Amino acid sequence: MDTTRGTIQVLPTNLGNGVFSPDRNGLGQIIFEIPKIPQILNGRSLRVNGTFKVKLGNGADTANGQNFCADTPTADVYMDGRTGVSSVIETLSIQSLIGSTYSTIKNYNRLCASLLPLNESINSFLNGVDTTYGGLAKDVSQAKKCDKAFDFSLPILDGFLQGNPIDMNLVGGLRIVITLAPANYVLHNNYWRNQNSTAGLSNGGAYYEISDVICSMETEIPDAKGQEAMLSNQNGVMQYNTFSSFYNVIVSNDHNLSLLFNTSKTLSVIGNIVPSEWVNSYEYNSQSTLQPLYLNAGNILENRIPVNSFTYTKAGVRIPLDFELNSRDSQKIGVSDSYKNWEELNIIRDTWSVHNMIKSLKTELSNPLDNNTTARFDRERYSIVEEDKVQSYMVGVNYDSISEVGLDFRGEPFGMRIQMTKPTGQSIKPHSLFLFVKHENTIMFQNGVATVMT
Amino acid sequence: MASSGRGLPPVLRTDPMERPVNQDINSDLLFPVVFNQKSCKFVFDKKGVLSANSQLHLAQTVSNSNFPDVDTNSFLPTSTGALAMVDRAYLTIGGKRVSDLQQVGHYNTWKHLHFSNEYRKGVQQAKQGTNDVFMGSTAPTVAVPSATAIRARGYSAPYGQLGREASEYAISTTSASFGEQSATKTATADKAKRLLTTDPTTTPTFTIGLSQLIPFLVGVNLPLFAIKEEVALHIEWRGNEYGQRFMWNRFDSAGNDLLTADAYKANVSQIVEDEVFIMADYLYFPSMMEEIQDEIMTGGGYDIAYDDVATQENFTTYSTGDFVNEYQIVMGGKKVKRIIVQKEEEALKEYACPSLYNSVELKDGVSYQFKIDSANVYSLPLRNRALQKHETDMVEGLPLVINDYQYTFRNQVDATGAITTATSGLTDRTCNSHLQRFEAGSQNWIGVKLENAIGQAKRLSNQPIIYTESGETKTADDGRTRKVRFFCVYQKMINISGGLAHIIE
Repeated sequence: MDTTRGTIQVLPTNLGNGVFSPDRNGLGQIIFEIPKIPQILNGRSLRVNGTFKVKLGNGADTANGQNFCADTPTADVYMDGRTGVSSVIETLSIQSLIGSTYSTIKNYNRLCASLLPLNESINSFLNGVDTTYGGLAKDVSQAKKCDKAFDFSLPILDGFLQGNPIDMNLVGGLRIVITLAPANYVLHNNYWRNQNSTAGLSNGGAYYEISDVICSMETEIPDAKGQEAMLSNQNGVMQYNTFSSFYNVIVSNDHNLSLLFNTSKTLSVIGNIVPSEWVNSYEYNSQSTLQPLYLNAGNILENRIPVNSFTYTKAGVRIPLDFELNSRDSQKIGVSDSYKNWEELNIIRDTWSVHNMIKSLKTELSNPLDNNTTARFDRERYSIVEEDKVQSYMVGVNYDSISEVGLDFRGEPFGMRIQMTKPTGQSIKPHSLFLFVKHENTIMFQNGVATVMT
Repeated sequence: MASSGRGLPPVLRTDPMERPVNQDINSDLLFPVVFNQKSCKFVFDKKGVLSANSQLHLAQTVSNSNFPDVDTNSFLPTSTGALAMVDRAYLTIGGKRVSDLQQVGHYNTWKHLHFSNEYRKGVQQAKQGTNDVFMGSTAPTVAVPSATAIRARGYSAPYGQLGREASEYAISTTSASFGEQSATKTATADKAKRLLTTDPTTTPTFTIGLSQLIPFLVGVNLPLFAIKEEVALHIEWRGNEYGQRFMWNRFDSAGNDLLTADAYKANVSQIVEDEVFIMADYLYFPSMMEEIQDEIMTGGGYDIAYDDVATQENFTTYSTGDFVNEYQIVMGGKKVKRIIVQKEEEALKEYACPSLYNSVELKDGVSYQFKIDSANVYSLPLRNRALQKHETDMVEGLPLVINDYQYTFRNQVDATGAITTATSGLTDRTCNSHLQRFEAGSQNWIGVKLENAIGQAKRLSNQPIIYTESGETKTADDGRTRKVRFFCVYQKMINISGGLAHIIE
């Protein structure tokens, strides 16, 4: 079958006045409908393109370039640099035009907060990835970028698109629904570093606008005979990896959770933690991925709560690790947590093939142990050339990096225990735990009807 | 397309699969049979299989008649390196031009921009004299000690710019409690041993892979032993004045300011004859040589499908206001894989490190469309710069490894198209005496991929491809010019049989 390269561009079906700004005009969803056609979609080439603009509450531009480092800054509002514009996607849903749902990822932005720092290095963020995601991975640089509108071209990090080529006729076309996060989730001040930074709160709060949105993709167009064959085919099987989302709140120093994934081919669990009061807060970065923190003398969540161990179970049995991931000693003395890092890096791919990542000693040793101890890499003075001194702390475990068959979690609950040492005289502030289960789905197409099996 | 030959056996391809264990390699120095300051010619020995990874070794000196014997501190264009020294390279077999690459420096700048940061820093910088890895940087101005200055690591606004690695950390000279920086250390330069000197014995040497010069050799090891005809590599050097083979530095090694009375324009390059040779690797596969020779001499020979690059150049001057420019690219009947569009602004040789080897965007960008065989490639002209880069990334299947600020002026200019110290995403710290800010929007390459998922080219009809750009020329671009250059990568086929090479298509 001869094929030629084709390109498709699709405007949102709910375009309105062309500007998506959930906090100001209520347009909180972007919907693309990609037609059912006898072409093969290269899902990896699919991009959501647009222009992103940050505005202060009064509609004025930010002035981070002049103010970011000021002792008493004004007009300094920016977004997470490690995920860029991906941080605006709260929920991602991929459906067919005839009613089947192939993939739904809630808190997609939090998933990206784990995936991107494990896939890109500070060098790649600063040299190319910034155009794609609109993220520079450094707060000071990201803040400067936010002063003026910039373009982005986001890939969708879902296995449905990132896996095998897609028969657009068989899947019945695609409807991609993007639910946007509120502005106080996406934007924030530099308050964590400098408590004089409060510009985001004024005049009803800073907000963002997304305009000139278009979805683009590459297809393979078969010759006439091939198209005929595609049109007549009503049956088939498609397998792809996707993520299911779970949410939990940590409120004690011995946190236990039990979740029923009900997924038959479970490949890994990846997650991250953020203080709950930081989510949807103009003061803090809602996309942070930190280990649990407690208040310092200035009443800021800054000092780390030593995390002693993680234990993962399946139906009550320690699987796949038959031991606790013990970090007690390294956390106690404030050195590199290599044991946990090893497992963490293995979550989404084999550690030996990891060549791009943000994580370093600088990021991991950036929280003080207590009020009397400075962090080994103090974030008060930003890192000029390299990655920011802000943790990239993930949780999770890989179930099968070799055969990619995975484990069967149907009827068998996933268990997780996080043991921490509560600092004397401190309480454990609520921390949000976002978990994403990577699993394989299978779609059976029979006479044009799609059945999705997890 | 008539062909009778077979596909290349694994040993004549560059991928390392299925090589016999008794492979032998013999490395020789091959000197040119003809050399002058305009060109040179190498004739390969009829032995073994020529490795495509063989290297051309070369060097140049740069001197200035105003200051004889003083090193000018000239350097190689930062995204092109030693390839800027070559204007054109072509391979002939029996006098027939098999592969011809014009504008070697420009095309290889495009290729270079796909290398990873690590490869550029670890290999390219040392081997070919490039210098274009960007990272976090600051403004050059040292701040007066204050709480703000402490937060800003001792530098003034604007904060958050990018630039090449410089000396961001210096020893405090005025205060025990404040790590003040030294303004003299904020500039950066090429490594001292990469700067071009006036003396042939001290000027640095560089090496270029033959496959960088000859697209035919990408993926092919040439069986020289079985080709009866003369196999020759012809090289034409780039012009010897500033901006061509080299980029000038404002200050020479004696501290003379070459900007005074435009003294830098007297810089002249000379190729060092003694340093021009090929480090040729000849491969031998004792267990297979006979089989290969039989196939070439008595069988149908080998068909080698390869890519060649056709180059077309247009010239445009922009005037304030709306414009629509159409360009016709004539590739009738050819099997085209990809088209790369470069918009060279010659003026950069006066003030920016990449020199001529650039593709400068208009301050307000453009919308573009390709029309092939009367059909638009895109349903809507592409306007979004990130999407433009993504489409361009698809061309080689690898992303352009350049930051957004180098790719586009978007996010850096005001309504009139003006870019200032405060709005630029690139720092005002100098590199080799030139402001890095002048590199904003300087690598705005555009491209379209026409091949399908398995690499098959698209055969075009006799209608020319129409490339249309439209937009608004801002005041800042009024009167500026571009050489709009198209590199069209198309598929060719050669058959090597009976010891002779025949271009089938």
